[in-house]
Order: sequence, then C-alpha cells, then structure tokens
Amino acid sequence: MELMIDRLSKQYKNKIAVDRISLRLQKGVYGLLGANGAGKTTLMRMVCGILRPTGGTVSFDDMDVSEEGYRAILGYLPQDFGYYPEFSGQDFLMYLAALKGISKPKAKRKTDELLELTALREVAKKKIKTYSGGMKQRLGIAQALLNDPKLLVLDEPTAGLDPKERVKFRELIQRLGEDSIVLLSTHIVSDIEHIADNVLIMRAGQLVYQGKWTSDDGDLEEFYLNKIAEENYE
Amino acid sequence: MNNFGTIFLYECKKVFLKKIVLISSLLCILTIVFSLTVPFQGDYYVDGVKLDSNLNMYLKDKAYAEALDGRIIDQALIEETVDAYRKIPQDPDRHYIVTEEYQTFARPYSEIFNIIRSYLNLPTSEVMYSWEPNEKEVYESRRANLEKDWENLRLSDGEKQFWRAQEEKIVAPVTYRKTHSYNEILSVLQTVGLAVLMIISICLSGIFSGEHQRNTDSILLCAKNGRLRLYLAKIAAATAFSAAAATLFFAAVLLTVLIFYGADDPDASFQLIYSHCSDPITCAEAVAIMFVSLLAAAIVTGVLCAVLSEVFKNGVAVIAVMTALFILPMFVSIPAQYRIAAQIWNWLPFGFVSPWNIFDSYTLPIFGVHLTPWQSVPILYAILCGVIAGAGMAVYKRAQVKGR
Amino acid sequence: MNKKLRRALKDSFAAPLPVGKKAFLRGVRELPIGNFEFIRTQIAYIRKWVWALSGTIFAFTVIGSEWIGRDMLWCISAFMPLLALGIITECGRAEAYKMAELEMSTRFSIKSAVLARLGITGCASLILICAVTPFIAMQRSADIFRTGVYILCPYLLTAYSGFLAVRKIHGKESLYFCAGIAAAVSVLNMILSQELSCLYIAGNFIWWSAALTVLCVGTAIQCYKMIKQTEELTWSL
Repeated sequence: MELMIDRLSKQYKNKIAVDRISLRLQKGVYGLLGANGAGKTTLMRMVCGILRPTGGTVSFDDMDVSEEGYRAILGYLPQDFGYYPEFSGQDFLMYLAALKGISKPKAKRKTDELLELTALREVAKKKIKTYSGGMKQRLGIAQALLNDPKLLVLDEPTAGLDPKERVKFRELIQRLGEDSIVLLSTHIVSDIEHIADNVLIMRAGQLVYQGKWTSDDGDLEEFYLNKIAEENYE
Repeated sequence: MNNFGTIFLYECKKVFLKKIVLISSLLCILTIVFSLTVPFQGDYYVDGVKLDSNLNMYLKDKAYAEALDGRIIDQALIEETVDAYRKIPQDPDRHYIVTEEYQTFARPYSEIFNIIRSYLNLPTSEVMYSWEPNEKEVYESRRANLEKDWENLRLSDGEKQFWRAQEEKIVAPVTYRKTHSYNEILSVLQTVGLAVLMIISICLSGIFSGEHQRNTDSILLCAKNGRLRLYLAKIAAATAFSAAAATLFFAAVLLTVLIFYGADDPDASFQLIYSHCSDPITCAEAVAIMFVSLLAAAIVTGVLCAVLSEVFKNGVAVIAVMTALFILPMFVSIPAQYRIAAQIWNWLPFGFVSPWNIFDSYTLPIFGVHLTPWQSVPILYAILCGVIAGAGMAVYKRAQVKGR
Repeated sequence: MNKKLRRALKDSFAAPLPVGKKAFLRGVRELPIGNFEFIRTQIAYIRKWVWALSGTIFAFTVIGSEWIGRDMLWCISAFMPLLALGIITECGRAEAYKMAELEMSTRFSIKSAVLARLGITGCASLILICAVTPFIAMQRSADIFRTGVYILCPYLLTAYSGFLAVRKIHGKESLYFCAGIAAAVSVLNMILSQELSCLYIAGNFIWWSAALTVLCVGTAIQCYKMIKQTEELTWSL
C-alpha cells in the first residue's frame, strides 16, 4: 500500500500554489501542517482527484488518480462541505454509499455502524438542516469512512468538535492509521502531536519538512514555528 | 456494484422534493383550471351591449351542437344553414349577433356556419348574403386555400405531392361532431406547454449548479461513481422530472376539460377544429400527438437545462437564459420566405408546444419519405438530447473544485 | 523654495517620531455619521446591475415604443419582475451570504441597512414606473391609471412572493428561488397577455384593481415582517 506523489504542482496565473511536491506515503497517519495559504487544501484536492494538477502525478499502488479504482479506495472530508437540507443524516450516508459503489445491504450496515460510531443514531432520521455544526462535522467524518478507505484525506476534520468528541476522533484516526494511509491537515498542532506518526510541513507551496515525530522530539508547535521562521530568514 | 438505480432515486428525490416544485406545480394547475374556465366567467358583450352570461351562451351553443352531432355537412345541411342565416336582416348599425333572427334561426347552425366560413375563407357577410350554397365549392375552396398556403410557405413540389396524397385520405363530406372539448385543448395547449417548460427550467436549473453552490461537489466528485454514473443519473432524473411535469399538466388539462366540457366523440375529424391541417387524423389522435410532442419538448428542455446548469454552475444564469428563450418567440417570428430558418424556429421546443407548429405543413424529407413535424421532431429531439447530454458529459468529466 | 531643494531636505533629514499619537487621536472627537449620510453610503452598495436594469427599461421604453407600439405594455410588464428581483436580492443579500449575524451587531444594524436599501430601490422603481407609464399609455391610447395598474401588478406579485421566499428560505438558495419566481411571473404575464387578452378588457379592470390592492397590502406586510426578522436571530444554528 503506497501513495506516490511525484513532482506535483499547481499554478494559478502568477501564483504557484503547490510547488513540485514529491511524497511516498505508506500505512500510517501523516499530519500536514502549514500556515493559511500554504497550499495544504490545494495539495489535498489534487490527491483526491478533484483538482487537476499543472504538473506531476498522483498514484496509489500504480492506480492513477483519474481512475475509478482510485476513487473506490478514497475517503475524503473537505474543509468546508455542504449538505442537502431536505435529506436526513441516514439518507445522506446511503446516497453517498451508492456513489461510492457500495451495495445496498452493505451500505445499510455501514450506515448504522457509522451513525453509532459518530453518536448520530438518535438524529439519523432528522433532516440535516436541524443539525448543529458539530453534528454536521461528525456526519462528514462518517461519510468519509463509508467505503473503508485505504486512503483517507481529512482537511480540518476536528473543526467544530468539542474536546470530548476530538479525543474520540483522535482514537478513531489512530486505529485507522494501522491499516490505511491517513493524510490529515489541521491548525490544531496538538491533534498531530497525539495521533500523527509523521509530520509534513508546507510553506508557500513547498514541503519544508517531512519526517517522523514522537514526544521525545520535543514541542511540535515550537518546532513548526521555528521552521516557518527559518524559511522567512532564508 | 452498479448502484445506478439508487443514485437515480436519490437524484429524483433531490429534484422532486424541492419546495419550488410543489409551489410552481400548484400555480401551474391553477393557471390551467383558470384558463379553461375563463370562457364561463363574466358576461358576453357585443358592441358594449350585454347579451347574456358567458356560461349561458356556452350551454346554449352546446345544446345546439349536440343537436347537430352526427349530421353530414353535405349540400342539404349547407343549404339549411345558409337559409337560416339569410333570415337575419342586413343592418349596418347593429351586429347580427344581437338580432332576434340570429338567436332564433341562425344560432342553432352557428357551428356549421363557422366551419363553412373557415373552409371558404370568405368574409361573414359575403357567406351570409351573397354566396350560393354549394357543397363541392366548400371542400374545393378548402383545398385551394391549402394550396395557396403551401405556396406561401415555400413548400417543395415533393411536399405538396405528399400533402395532396394525405388530403385524398380525408373523408369528404365530413360528418359534424361536437368538438368543444378538443377545441379547448387545442386553444390552451400553447399556454400549458410554455408553463411546463418554464417550470422545468426553474426546477432543473440547480441540478448541477446546486452542488457547486452548496459545496457538496468535492465529496461527490471524489467518489467512485461520482463522475460518469452520477452525471447519467442526474440526466436521467432531469428526464424523469420533465416527463412527469408534462404528463401531470397534460392530465390536468384533460381532467379539467372532461369536467367542464364533457367527453366528445374521439372519431371526430380533426379538420372540424383545425381546417388548415391535412393530416387524416381524428381529434383523439390529434390529442395523443399533442401529448407526445409536449413530452418530447419537455424532455429536451430538461436535458438542456441540466447541461446548462453544469456549464454555467449558476442556477440564476440558467433561469435567465431560458426565460429569454421563452420571451423571444413572442416578439420574433421568422418570415416564411426564409423557409429553413422559419422551419427550424417553429420546431424549437418553445415553439413546438404550439399546435400550429405541431401540425405545420413543413416536412422533413428522408430518402424520399416525407415525415410530418409530429413524426420527425420527437426523433430529432431524441438525437438532440443525446448530443446535448454528450457535450455536458465532456464538461462534467473535466469538472474541478477550484479554490473557494 | 524650489522642488529639488525641498526633496533634498526631505531625504536628508528624518522627520521626528510622533509622541503621544494614540492619546491625541483618542482625544479627537470624531463625529459619527448621521442617518442621511448612512443612507447615502448605502446607495454606493446597491449593485450596478440594478441601476443598469432601470436605465435599460427606461431607454427601451423611450426608444423602442416607436417600433413596438401597443405591445410595449407586455414588454415592460415582462421586465417588471426583474426590477422587483433587484430590490428583493438587495434586501435579502445579507441573509443569503450569511452576513446577517455580523451585520446585526453593528451600530447601523442590518435592519437600518435593509430599510435604507428598500427605501432607495423602492423610490427608484416608483420613479421609473411613473416615467414609463405615460409613454406606454400614449402608444395604447389608454388611460394612464389603467396602464400603471397593468405594469404594477406583476411587479408587486414578484415583490410579495420574493420577500416571502427570502424570509422563509435561508442561504443562497433563496436568491435562486427569487430568480425562479421572477422568471415565472414574467413568462406568465407574457402568456396571459397573448392567450387570454380578454383579461385586459375594460369590464375586467375591477379585478385588476382588486389584485393591486391585495398585492400592495401583501407586499407591505411582507416588507414589515422581513424588517422585523432582521431585529434578531430567529434560530440559533
């Protein structure tokens, strides 16, 4: 199981949003850190195949990002995603299960399982427009896990979650990281400290640091700020 | 697993369960009922003088028509009709309708008189007072007027031959049947058709653009079935919605007509209500043709709206474009001298909901066979749907979620 | 002192750093903007296309009436829903773009902004309708009042339905709903004028007057309710 990102670039007119990033990711949790405008979301969208790169390739076990097979193993939670107000939480998950190519019986089973996991069972039949911000975020996490993805891309997944939910989410991600590749982008450094095995730091579209991170390596936030400051001086 | 059926059902749910669908459907049905019942409301005035209520006028005319039902419009009936009208005194200061003589003698034959007048294409006063009743002249005049129309429309010799052959199939002399209900369907079809196309445009304008505006596109596009299958499911949902709208509102027309006008003989000749048509069809067949034409126009409009929704990624822009397309034909018509352009203009969906264009004299010649508009246009629309949907697929497959 | 010397002096000597700047600025009494000033600033925030549409309608009436003649009434009354759409979208913009919560907390809250925009666009529409009605009435040799009623009814119908939609539906979907309403009223108006011309005879004018009255009252009620709704959040989600 390997996600290969080879010299991936994205350019908008005069701005280079992502600048020749190359990565080889195996099983585990990768925390992606970077300032606003560093190119994290752009990178993630290209990894998910919803944004076409200007250069470079993305492939998973020799499957190119444009193939249907790639999308079959992908789970994605965008930073700011919408919903269908007239759908209930259950409808939303069943609809997305169908889009992910999951058979109806399995979709029903997975939907029930994930609604239980994300503590949305009681409100499953209620319309999404009645959900609070945190409930919508948990629904988003649930849909990303429907197809038991081998590649899970999460953009700011803990935004809107209270501390208790955040702890639960961290445990879930750690478990998932044992069997899949999890690429997680967040501003909350403590999330990465607790769950990520590897840290990726982006600045101005470039990857400025890639490596393992444990508690023995010290304070990640301090390291991150120093890394960004270092780049400033350079 | 394919899951196409499940995705299609959810897409239908997204389209059908919108509030705007319910509101616009109710408004459309109210418009249909109102349009069909307006003739019964208020009073009938002639030269500022109230004659009777519209309802009474209709009930009397209905009774007279039922009395004439089944009679052949031959020399005897034509003479009877003209004799009845000749009893009306010539008075330049009064409209003949307000006279006692018209109400007593001529009105029972008004249906036949109107048919004779439309066939002869002469002024009312000339038919009433100077024309000599002649059965052969009535039917030959109709043919002569048709030949003139074909000349004005710039029909080819092949087309004229085709229509002449069709005319031979029409039974003459024609048997009179009461056709009020069919007449109402014919008169209201264009209104209903435009209303249906408008509702389709409004309700389907957000089928793709809504995903971009609601930010659900990023989740959908990265799913396994989120490209081709989802696109096809949305197009199928748009088609289903369009077909349902056309069927529902046409059914509303039929039901309203049945309730207020009753059921008329399905075998009545279509030439009784539309003398300019050379198709040898009955009124019931004409109604079925009108329904199929409306269905075809609705489906192609639905597919076009869906594709424009993806191209513009903005529902309001789609509504603006479609509204402009609807309003334009009300002000612009292409003269017959530009034959091809006029034919294409009449056959566009917003024009093809009009019965005058459905039963047009323009044909589509294919390998020597002339297809009438109601035979050729639905096929052309099916091909057009495929082309439009194909173009839309090319756009959708390349869709990206850009920076927000 | 010549420019060159002045520039040389400026480059050679640095100006002294300000001392006590913050305290000084705090002491300066700033006059807050008044209500009229606020209304004036709101004019600049009304989108250009609303003014462009009004201008287009007026120009079209003046220039086009010669060619279009009697049918000018149906043309202009088809445009009226679009004019109403402009007003509705201006008033409902904050709600549609989720700015309502922020605007409620400012000095000139969203209520003032909506009232100001409603007033400005409403007055502009009234002036436009008063300006085009005589032109159209002249083409039809009809009385001005009747022509005005035929023009106002689709306008008020769109305004009433649009304000109702903006109040009930939140987010950008409300704008799409309003566009749909405007399009539907526009096309319905055209269809009725072509297919049911009997509606426009003198005998039926009483129904038009009744419709105008009902729509005026309805629109006023919807405006009032919409303004009330801007006073506080109705639901905390």
